[in-house]
Formats: sequence, C-alpha cells, structure tokens
Amino acid sequence: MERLAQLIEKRGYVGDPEIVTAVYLSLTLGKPLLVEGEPGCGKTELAKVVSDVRSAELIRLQCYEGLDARSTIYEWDYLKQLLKIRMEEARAQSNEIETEVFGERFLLKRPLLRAVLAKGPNPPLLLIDEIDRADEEFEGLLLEFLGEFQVTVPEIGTFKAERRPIVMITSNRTRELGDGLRRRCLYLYLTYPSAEKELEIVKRKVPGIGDKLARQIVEVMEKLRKDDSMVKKPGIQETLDWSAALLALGRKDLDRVSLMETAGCVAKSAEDLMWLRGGVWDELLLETNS
Amino acid sequence: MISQEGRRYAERLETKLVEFCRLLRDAKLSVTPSETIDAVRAVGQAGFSDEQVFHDALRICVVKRSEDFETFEKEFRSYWQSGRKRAITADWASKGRRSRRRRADESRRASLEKGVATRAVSGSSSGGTNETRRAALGVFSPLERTQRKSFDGLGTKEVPSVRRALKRMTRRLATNRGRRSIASRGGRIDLGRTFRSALGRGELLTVERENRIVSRIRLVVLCDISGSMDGHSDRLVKILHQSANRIPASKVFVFSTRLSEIGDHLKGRSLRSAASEVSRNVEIWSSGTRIGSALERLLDGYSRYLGSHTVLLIISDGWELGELDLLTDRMREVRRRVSKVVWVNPLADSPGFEPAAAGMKAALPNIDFLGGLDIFTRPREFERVFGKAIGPGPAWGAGRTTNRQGRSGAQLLPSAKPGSFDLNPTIRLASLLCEQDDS
Repeated sequence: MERLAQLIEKRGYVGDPEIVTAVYLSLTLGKPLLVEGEPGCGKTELAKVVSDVRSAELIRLQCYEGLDARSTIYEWDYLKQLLKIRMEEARAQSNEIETEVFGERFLLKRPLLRAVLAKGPNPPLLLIDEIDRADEEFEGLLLEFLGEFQVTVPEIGTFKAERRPIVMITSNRTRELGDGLRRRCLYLYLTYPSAEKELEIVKRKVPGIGDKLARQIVEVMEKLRKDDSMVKKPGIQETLDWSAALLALGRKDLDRVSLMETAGCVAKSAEDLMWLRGGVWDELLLETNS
Repeated sequence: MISQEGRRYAERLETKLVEFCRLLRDAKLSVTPSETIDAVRAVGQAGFSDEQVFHDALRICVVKRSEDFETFEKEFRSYWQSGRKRAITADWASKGRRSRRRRADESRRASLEKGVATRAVSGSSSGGTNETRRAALGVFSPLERTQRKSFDGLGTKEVPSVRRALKRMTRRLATNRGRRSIASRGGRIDLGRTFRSALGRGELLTVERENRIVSRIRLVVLCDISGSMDGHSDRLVKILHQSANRIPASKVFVFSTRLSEIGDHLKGRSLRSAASEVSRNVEIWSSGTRIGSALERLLDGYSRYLGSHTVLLIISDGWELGELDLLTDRMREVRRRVSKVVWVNPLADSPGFEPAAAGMKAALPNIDFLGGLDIFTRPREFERVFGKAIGPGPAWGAGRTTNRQGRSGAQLLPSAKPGSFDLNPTIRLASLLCEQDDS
C-alpha cells in the first residue's frame, strides 16, 4: 500500500491517504470503485493516474442521457456488412456469407466489450465517467456487467473477461444512484482538497508559479467555494487554469486588474461572472492582502 | 504460517467487525452481508497497523452514501475507541514486547509468533517496526469493548424472594446421593447399627436400615451481562449476590465477550458494596454475547467446578453472536459433565415466548429447565418450571433428614418377639442379607 501511495504521488496526484486505501482495496478485492464528489475535485484524474500506475489501458465510457447497449457494449458494423455481402454476391460466393458477416471483424466494439476483450499485459481500467448523467436503464445494464464481466453476442457467443478489469465509476451526484449499484462498489467520497493540499497541487501542476501568488490563489479559491451564492463552484481545474493564466500574464501578485482580467477562468457562468465583478472581487482582494 | 494465537486474534476481529456492521444496521445504515464480507476482507488486506487506514477501509466498504458518513463516524468512535482503550493498549503492547524478546533468544520459532497479530489479520508482509506494532495492537485492543456498569439506586426489594427461590431450586435439583448415609426405614441394611443394637439386647431383634444422603449440589451461575441484558442488570446482581453468599459452594461467573469469575467480589459483602465492587472490577458490561466461547472457557479453565453434583444456571437471552456450532458443541459437553442445566431467559417472562433466538435454539436440546427471571420472584412461576423436578423423598441433605418418628429407622424382625431368644443371630442376619439381594 505504501508503494501504491508513492506511485500515485509520483504521478503528481496529491490526495488524502483515504484515496490510496480506496484504490488499494479496489485493486486487491477486485471490486469496482464508485467515486463521488463535487465537480472538479479530481475524480477523473484519479482514474487516469491509477491506469498509469498500473500501466493499464484506460477505457473510458463517458455517460450521457440515452446511453444504451449499442453504444456501450457492441454494435454490428452494418455498412461493412452490406459491403461484404455485395462483394460476395458479385463474386457469386454466397454460401457461407451469413456466418462470415457475423464474425468478430464486423463487430464494433464499444467500451464494455473492449474491457472484456482487452489483451494487454495488464487488465485494463474501465472508467465509467459521470454515471449520474446516464439513465437508470443503463445502470441496470451495468449491474449485470459488473457482476459477471461477460458480454453475450447472440450471433457469436459469450465473451468472458480473462482478467477482471479494474473498474472506476464516477458520479457528480446530479442524480441519486440506485442501491444495487452502490452495493456492488466500494465507495469513495472526494471533497475539495484542503488549502495546503491545493497549494501543493498548484505548485506541481503549474511549475514556475511564485509562492506568494499560489498562496493567494488558493486562499481566494477556498473562500469562493465556501460561498453558496456561486452557481457553479470552481474546481481544482479552475484553480490550475487560473494559476496558469496569471503566470502567462507574468503576474507576481494578485491585484485588481489581474483579477478583473482573469475572472473568466474562475467563474463559468454569466451569473457568477456578474456576481464576482459586482464587488465580491474587491472584498476578496482586500481580505487576502490584509 | 499463522500460529494459533494469530488465528484466534483474526477470528475475534472478524466477530467484532460483524458486530460493528450489525450496529450500523441498527443505526439505520444499509449494510448488507455483502458489505460485511467486504469489510472483513478489506481489513484483512489493508491491515490495521494504522488506525486511520483501518477507519478508511471500513468506511470505503461499508458506507455507500456520503450522507451516512456522520452516523458512521459516531458509531465508529463509540465502538472502536470507547472505554479503557489506553490501558489495554499498554497491555497488548507489553505482550508484543515479550514476544520480541523471545525472538532474540530463539530465532525462528519466536519469529513466527511475533508479528502474529499484524500478519495474521493483515496478511501484509511488512514486518513492522516497534512503533507500528504498538499501533497495531493499540487499534486491536478496542475490539473488546470494555465498559463498566454503575448500580446506583439499587434497592433491596426482591432480595428475600430471590434467596428463597435459589435455595428451593438447589434443593429441588439435588438428586444425587452421596456417600454419607442416614437411618431410614427402607434402603440397605445398616450392619453396624444392627449389630450394636443386637449386642445391647443380647439378641437380634431389629434390623437397622440406612439410606445414602442426597448430597448438596454445587451451583455454578453463568450470567450474561452483554448489552442485550442491560435492562435486567439490577435483578441479575441480586441473583449473583445471593448465589454467592447464600448458596454454599457456589461459583459465580459473568460473561459477555469474556468469562470472568466474580465470586470474590460478592462474598461476604452487603448487596450494595458487592454491587459497587463488581462495577469497579468488571469491565465487560454491555459488550457482545459469546455464550459458546464462555462455555469453552468454563470447560477449559474451571472444569474442577463441574461434576455430577453441579447444577449449572445460565442466565442469558440467548442472542449469541459467536459461532453457533461452538455453542451447540460446548452445551452438549457441559450437559454431559453436570447434573442439571437450568437456563433462565429474561425474555421468557413475556407471554408467548418461544425460544427462537439462534443461541437459544442451539442450546435447547441440552437444557433441563428453561424459565424466565420471574422464577426468582414469583413462586407460582417457580413451581411451573421446577414442579416436575421432584428430588428424593425422605433424605434431604444432612441434618434435615432425620425421621420424624424418632428411632423408627429400625425395623422389627417379623419373628422376633420381645422375650424370645434367638440362638443364632448371625444366621438370621445372613438370611436377611440374602433376601435383600433377591429383591
């Protein structure tokens, strides 16, 4: 476990020991890890780091409303099939055409099937991102898949994963997930990092940033997140973007001008931008500088 | 390779984890068996060399909603960090030190035994420095939840009826005859007295008979003081106090996760001072129930108290948390060793009681009498339970068995009329003895 912690840290991911424990347990117990938390607190990043640490192929399934088996498991490549049929007809060799067009060659493998079939030296990491965006039907589909790690294609047969893929599921809590799914997973809840941790993240990800500026940025960010009047709270990505922007502008210190110029890095909606520019910035600046 | 000691630790930890998950379920968290299994496996993987890791691992496996974190934290604190953790930590740590020293002396064997606590449960290969070992044992210690009980406001009501019931019970259940004998009408011929009386009169007029006295029983009380029995603890302490002081040769034990003999805390003290002494010294109140292992401890460590003159009184609601197989097995063994097993279940006081608790069911085939706590306060209830247990008729224990018609333990010989002289009393006597053999 210590080794895992070191490896994760070496990849530039700064997190609580709990994160390491969760990843370690998910790997050793072979259970999917459900990561929940506010948007922008590093859920997807965690999956990337883990796939890197395990040198596992990252298979990402981005969820959206209306996601179905076709786009998640497999689909026949109808175009190719048609083409093949046409060609065979032209050559007048239509004897075994049916078995041929329903071969693996004509199968479009979607993420879940790819995770099952992956052949690399290490089991792949299947990232099911933002599952709360998909509808409940997809959750049901996933339950079956997570239980057996197998996919049945009626025309060909059943594919079963030789090695269980590592599965990570992230959710932004826009919708309550079903109990069935929760029960099958280990559960990790990520919050925004503490100010110290965030400072460390900024320094690592934005090399060359001054200590003072980084500190000020983190401080402002923390205050903004505590304020409930923001529609969309800034995540870690916003902190990093903002830091990079200020660095690019060559600022060494937070002042009114740079704040006004770069407010778009922090606020991602019109309301928030208005709110920030309407005086809040000045207050923050005053507090931070004092 | 895991030593036996290590395995025991692991088993205990498992039980504790299961118990903790049940507690969470009581606190309205949705913890299914699959989560419990995960928790046990996770602790096995992550180890518990670090309290934080232990905590995180449990939470990751068991709690699946961030809304439930608060409840989890509360339960975690009260379960794993309550009581006299520190003192016990020191105790475990010193054990760890001892095994380290041993390792220095004998290299290999001891090295297997060392590290047992961590390795057995954690399965991790890290040897562990002194510091982590201490931490490991420190976290392990609160597994046994230690808690004391105060008996403020303990009244002496019910005490006389408890005493009466205990005395009646021990008398009723005494059925075994000992070696000492006493004059009686029937029974075997008392040669000594027959001769003596014949000598005094110069002829054999009467045959004296004797019977073996029913010996007193030894009462061994095994009282459950786990959390589920909390509502009855005042009554229990009265029963224990009376058993220790008023029933000769009795032995009094309490158990929850451990077994401990408390006779010395009770004997020769008033009820109140006994209660405060018990509350000062017994730390396992309100813990989990492990009847099976308590019986095992009793059989292993106190078998000298168990014998054909022993009546074992178990006071428990039968909500066993340990292994049922162990309980069944140990109950059978105990039943074989003692004269009678009486089980008092507080739940049996309520109408419509059925021995449905798993532990109760497992123990049932080896119980002679099953009753509620009311047998100690309500004579009718006592009769209902023990009514059938009719002890031996005339002989009740030394001193109480003298025949009320004076010397009528003697029996007149049919042919022996006063004044007639028998030439050969010895022959008559011999024929009498033969007659006795035939019957």
